[in-house]
Amino acid sequence: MNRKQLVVVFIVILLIAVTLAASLGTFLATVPTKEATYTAPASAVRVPLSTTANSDTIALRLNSVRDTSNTTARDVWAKLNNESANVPYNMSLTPSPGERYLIANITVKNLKSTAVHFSDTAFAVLTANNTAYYSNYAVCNQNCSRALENRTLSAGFTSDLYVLFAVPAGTTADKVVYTTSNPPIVMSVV
Amino acid sequence: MSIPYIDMCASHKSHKGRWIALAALGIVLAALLFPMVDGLSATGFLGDKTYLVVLQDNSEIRGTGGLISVVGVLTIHNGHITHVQYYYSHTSKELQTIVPLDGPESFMTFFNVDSARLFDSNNQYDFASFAPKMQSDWYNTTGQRVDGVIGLDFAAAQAILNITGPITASGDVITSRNVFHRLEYYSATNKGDRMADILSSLTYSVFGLVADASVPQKLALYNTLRTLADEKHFFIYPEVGLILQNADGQNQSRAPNADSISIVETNLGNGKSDFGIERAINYRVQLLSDGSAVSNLTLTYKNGDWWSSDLFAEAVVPPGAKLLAVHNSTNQFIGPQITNNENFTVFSSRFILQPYSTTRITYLYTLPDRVYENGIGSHYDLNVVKQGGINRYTLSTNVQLPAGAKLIHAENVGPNLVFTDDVHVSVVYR
Repeated sequence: MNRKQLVVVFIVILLIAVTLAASLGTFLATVPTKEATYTAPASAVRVPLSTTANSDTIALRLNSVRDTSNTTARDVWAKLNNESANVPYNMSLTPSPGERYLIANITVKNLKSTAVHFSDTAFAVLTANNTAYYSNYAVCNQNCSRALENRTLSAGFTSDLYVLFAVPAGTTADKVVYTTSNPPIVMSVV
Repeated sequence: MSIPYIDMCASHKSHKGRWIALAALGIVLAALLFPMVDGLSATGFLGDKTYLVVLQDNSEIRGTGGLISVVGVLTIHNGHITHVQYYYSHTSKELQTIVPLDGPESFMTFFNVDSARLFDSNNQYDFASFAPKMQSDWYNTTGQRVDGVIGLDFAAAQAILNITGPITASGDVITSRNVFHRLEYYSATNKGDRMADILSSLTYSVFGLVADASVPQKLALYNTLRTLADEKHFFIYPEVGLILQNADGQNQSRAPNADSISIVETNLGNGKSDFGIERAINYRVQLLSDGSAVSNLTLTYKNGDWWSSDLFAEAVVPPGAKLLAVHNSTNQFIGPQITNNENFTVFSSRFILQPYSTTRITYLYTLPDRVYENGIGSHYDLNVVKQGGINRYTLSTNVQLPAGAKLIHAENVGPNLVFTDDVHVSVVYR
């Protein structure tokens, strides 16, 4: 093999090495989705399904958690979303590939005689290993939807909410948690 | 067996060999490094750059990717953000400024408009046509020069959050699972401050990642941006080195006389969200012995949502196309309008897609000179250009050869192929 051929071989080897490095880079770069986690503090209020829990300002009760493939859950969602005429937003119930949607039916009540802060964005579905899927959107009846938009519950406010969570397909909800109350409220799904 | 080696200093000949080897190595390294350096320079990692960052709501589809929701002015110095300011489309006087439209003719003629508010002026067929005009309009409106325009949609925000992990914006935890709907809701309810907070947190998070992350995370971000660019959820104008070549499909080498289909849609209202719409392109083309073609293009829209959608769809096909017939499966239909220039022919229609229903529109047309001779036989090429902002589409292609022809090779021909980016269909026959 003469020097010219050696140079060609060297260049070919170099190109192969670069290609392999790029492939390795692609392999290394395929990292899983970074999910949020949430660990409830020891002070959190913990209740089973269909049991009311109180924090300093609000009371919550988890009534059910359903998949949006459930026709009843879809119909209730569509009806309430349509009724929220003051909120010109329709949310599609078509999940992205690899995901499913869960809808939690939660009763919320203002325990104070004054308006209090409340946001559906503070809800999260927890799995058994504390992976947290924070809420995507919530709907409720016409009177309640304004409160959700303004993130304020008036004195005496009570209503059912339907809170939607996108989770990976195959994920089982273990708990639903309201993270920003004092103390946080943890409601078991079963 | 002897092991070959390079003797770098044995003789005069070996010196020559060494220089050849070094020159070759230099060329290879330069080829690898130049785009990287170019990319780093263009993105502000080597000096100062100012970019417009345009967040597009792709649940309200536009040719460039989606309705403009928020525009940010981002200044970078040596890879660090030195200034960022956001403008919300519904409250910013800059984005409410009326600007003249420069096309496309199909849109301006159909709606009889020649101007629009700046945030509503992205009616071009693609981001590459929109970005230089946005750059110029921004200067005319604010007196501020920018080096380029970065576009991203809600799907891009979702994919980037996969890499960065959750962020906090306006007190809320934003993750890749909920960012799309949060942005969609804030866009629909005019909560520009919350959208800007998300975009701002995301921008800082990305730059933090570039500066501090592990190598796999950096590679993951790089790969994500490339994929997003290929799938037209993320754009940089002007294009940047290795990262975003052919981001808009504009610079790809095209076969001579290639056939092409580009479906460009604009959401005109009602539900203001067409994320639940499935799109399919069914294309049957009969190649004739003189090289011309008869095309049957059917666009299918399946609405998975409970509200109706009002869509304006432009089918951009090669110049010289002659429409023979149109068929639509809905009576709530306006069109078709036909516009021509030296670059393309456009069939435009507006229609209502009812809840949980399917609508089909078929254009039957002729095309001149779609076949070319090269090497082993006759070639037919079709480029299907994906619209920015949509996630995926189904393509069914059927190519009928001239009588007596024998197929040699076919690529991307067949029913129900699902794509997330541009597609090249190729048929060779004898």
